[in-house]
Amino acid sequence: MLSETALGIYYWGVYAWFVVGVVAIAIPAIVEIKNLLVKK
Amino acid sequence: MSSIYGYLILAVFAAIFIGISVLVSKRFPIEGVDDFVAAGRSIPYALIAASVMVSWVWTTTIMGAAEAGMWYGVSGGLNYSWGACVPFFVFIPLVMHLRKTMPKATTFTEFVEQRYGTFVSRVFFVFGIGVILYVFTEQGVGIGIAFNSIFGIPYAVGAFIPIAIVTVYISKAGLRGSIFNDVIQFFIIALIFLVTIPLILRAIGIDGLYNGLMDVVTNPNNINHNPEALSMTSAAGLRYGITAVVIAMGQVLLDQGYYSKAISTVSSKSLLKAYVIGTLFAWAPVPILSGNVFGTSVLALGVGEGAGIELTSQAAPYMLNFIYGTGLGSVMFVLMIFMAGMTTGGNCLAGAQALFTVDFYKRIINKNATEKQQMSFGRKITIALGICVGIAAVMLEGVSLLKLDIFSGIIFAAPTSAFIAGMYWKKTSPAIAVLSMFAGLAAGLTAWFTIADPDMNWFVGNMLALFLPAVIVILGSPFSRFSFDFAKLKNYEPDHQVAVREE
Repeated sequence: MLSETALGIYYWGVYAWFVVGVVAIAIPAIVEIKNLLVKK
Repeated sequence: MSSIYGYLILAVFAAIFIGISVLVSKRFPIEGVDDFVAAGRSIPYALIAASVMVSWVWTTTIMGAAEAGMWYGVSGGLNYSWGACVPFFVFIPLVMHLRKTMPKATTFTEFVEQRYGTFVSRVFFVFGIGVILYVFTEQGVGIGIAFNSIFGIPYAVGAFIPIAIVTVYISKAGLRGSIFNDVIQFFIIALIFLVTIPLILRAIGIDGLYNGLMDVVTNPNNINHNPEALSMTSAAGLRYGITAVVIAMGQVLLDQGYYSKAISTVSSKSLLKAYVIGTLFAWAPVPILSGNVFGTSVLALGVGEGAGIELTSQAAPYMLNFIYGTGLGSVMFVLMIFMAGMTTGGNCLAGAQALFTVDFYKRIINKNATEKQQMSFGRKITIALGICVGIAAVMLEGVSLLKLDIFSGIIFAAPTSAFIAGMYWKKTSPAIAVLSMFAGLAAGLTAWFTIADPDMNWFVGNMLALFLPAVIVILGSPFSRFSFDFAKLKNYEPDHQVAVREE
């Protein structure tokens, strides 16, 4: 059974994981769209 | 809320998404079949990662995972997540292998035709179209329910219009249009999650969550009493995760949309990066957050069926209303479901468009067709499929999505073993492939219809549908005299022009 501390680490940890995933896509995606629109 | 807001959301997003597809088709004119169905194999990785992530975020990834959080506690979302991620870790090496061994392939049925022959290829074509129509219909049903329950818009209108919007933008701009729209929808879904999750966690607090869940664990009078709610190793949750693997396996491996996106990346390196980031980094936390933050928060607040909500599937909208109030919360919920359903539907329809454009028209209807005729047929069939899906979604009003999803696992898991074996193992013959598929299907359906225990029939049916074909393939192939020469796939030339970059 999880303790309160472990629960906090688990919930906020998954949120941090999601933030990393979104940033890993969002920043290069904006750059790529800009490049595609400028290049063509 | 007034239905005017619902119609306004539909109208605004119809204008945005159809407008984007018009702009994309003007900016990047479609030059041939490969450009139409595989975006000219030139899409950078981050756009594909965004597209893959949102395509795999279904209406059930939000609502179903939140429900799993209510049923299984802290392990519910996690089991949903790993269960639905496993098929991608079968798919990623498989599609990279396909790209290497058969560089000019676009559809998985082209590979099956070369590997197992025309008959098996047609069987896979039927399964491929079946999975696409089923998944797209399910999204329409989910969106229809959301618009109907929040804004009071007639279910049929709420289900049909989003399907029509997707159909218009896919038929207009092909795969490229779908990917650009997916990126916009990625930002909307990500923004709602990024803002909402910390607001809920701060409002209830980790101590509030813990104390509420502790009451669920220890208090037999708690409406949601579950001694395993704070356990990460809940046996029921684990069984749910294993079933998720079976259900998702066919939905990934037989959905041409994922192959089209993988093929459209500029290189194998981009493909790997896009799919790993899109699934493991960006998608995998979504059901865990939905299960934990939406599902277990509802538990911690002491809300349950008949006490605050009518059904556990209302956990996600309940928490959005809790944070934003009934007005804004409802709009946020509908937006998430709308975006999730549209992107998944778009992925399906782009896949169906590829299957019909590449595999169907020139091979079966008009052997001398030009690429222009192939694309024209692809567009027409996309519209026809969209109308069929819209009608099916309207007719399925009131049917349980969860039951449909579990039943679909039996049907679509059965062909996956033959497909995977065909990709790597030269000894698996067309006869073994066919036998394994139909044996798995028959065993799964027999279990579903004959086992009286409603808590076991779905589980046994799904397990048989996935594992019996695997056993037949593994035991049958070594005794087969058949031996396939994979080298010939390297020189495969499709019926349309394909330019492949050297890697």
